[in-house]
Amino acid sequence: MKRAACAYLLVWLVIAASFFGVAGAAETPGELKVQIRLIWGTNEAKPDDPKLKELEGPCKGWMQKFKWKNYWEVDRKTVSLPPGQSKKVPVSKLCEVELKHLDKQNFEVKLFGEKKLVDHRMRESLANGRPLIIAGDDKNDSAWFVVITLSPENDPAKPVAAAKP
Amino acid sequence: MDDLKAIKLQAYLDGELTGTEAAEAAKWLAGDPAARALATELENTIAAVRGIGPELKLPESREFYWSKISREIERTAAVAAPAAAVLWWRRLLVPAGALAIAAAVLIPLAAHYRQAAEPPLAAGTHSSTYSFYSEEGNVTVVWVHANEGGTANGN
Repeated sequence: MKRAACAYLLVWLVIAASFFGVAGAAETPGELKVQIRLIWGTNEAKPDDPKLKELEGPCKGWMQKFKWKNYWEVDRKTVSLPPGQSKKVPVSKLCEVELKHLDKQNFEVKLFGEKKLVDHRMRESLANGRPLIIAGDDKNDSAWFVVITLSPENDPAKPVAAAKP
Repeated sequence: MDDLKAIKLQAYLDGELTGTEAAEAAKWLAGDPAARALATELENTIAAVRGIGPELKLPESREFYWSKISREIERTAAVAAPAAAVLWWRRLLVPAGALAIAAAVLIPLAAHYRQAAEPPLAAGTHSSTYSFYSEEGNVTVVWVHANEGGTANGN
């Protein structure tokens, strides 16, 4: 009986620990979720690939500035970044972006191709839904786009990261 | 003429292109009357505004530059906020919780990456970039250009 009670207590301890672990992680002040979308622009019709999705929201309007007829969302990732921290996010087998949350809604973005740094000069404010679009030509007169925005999951009431001294 | 070509022409006139890119732009300019007309217009504009004021170039976008000013203003006016009290036992529970959920998160995550598509993207190692800002759309675009000898998709 005593052993059963101990096991019961242990299970509850693990559940409580998980809860507080998640809650603790979400409480980091100034932490922001950033959304990274990989988009493919082409003049061809939609290929028979269930992974390709229609664009939605303001992203559709941004893509209309470019010359291609059709745009498909290939992949979407969301990362959480507390101020001062950086994360590398793979966007394809050979390409990844490194995001650093500078402070507030300001980010530094580095682009890596085949593990080598391609561009390190990108410092942008993603405030007010403003996107940073990294793009390039691809084979068969198509193009790729990496669209980096703040995620709509961010709580607008939450204060942004404090300024660094 | 599409916007990208126009921007590239502007970069060429501003002396921002080098090597193969500059040679390509010069060749294109020589053979395309529309490009020459735009180049003349741009050169006239450059000549008209030259000398009006000092040319100041910022290494960052204007939003980022302004945010630095804003940060400095806030820093000088800031009153240190009291740090949130964290119970000691909760500090112990955070790593324990992280361990408990790590297995649940990492296993499906690893499976996801194994199944992930191979999008048609890989910036080549022989690339150059140029960026432009659309005021109308409030969008910054960084275009990665694969030079000869490299390829944008790595294939």
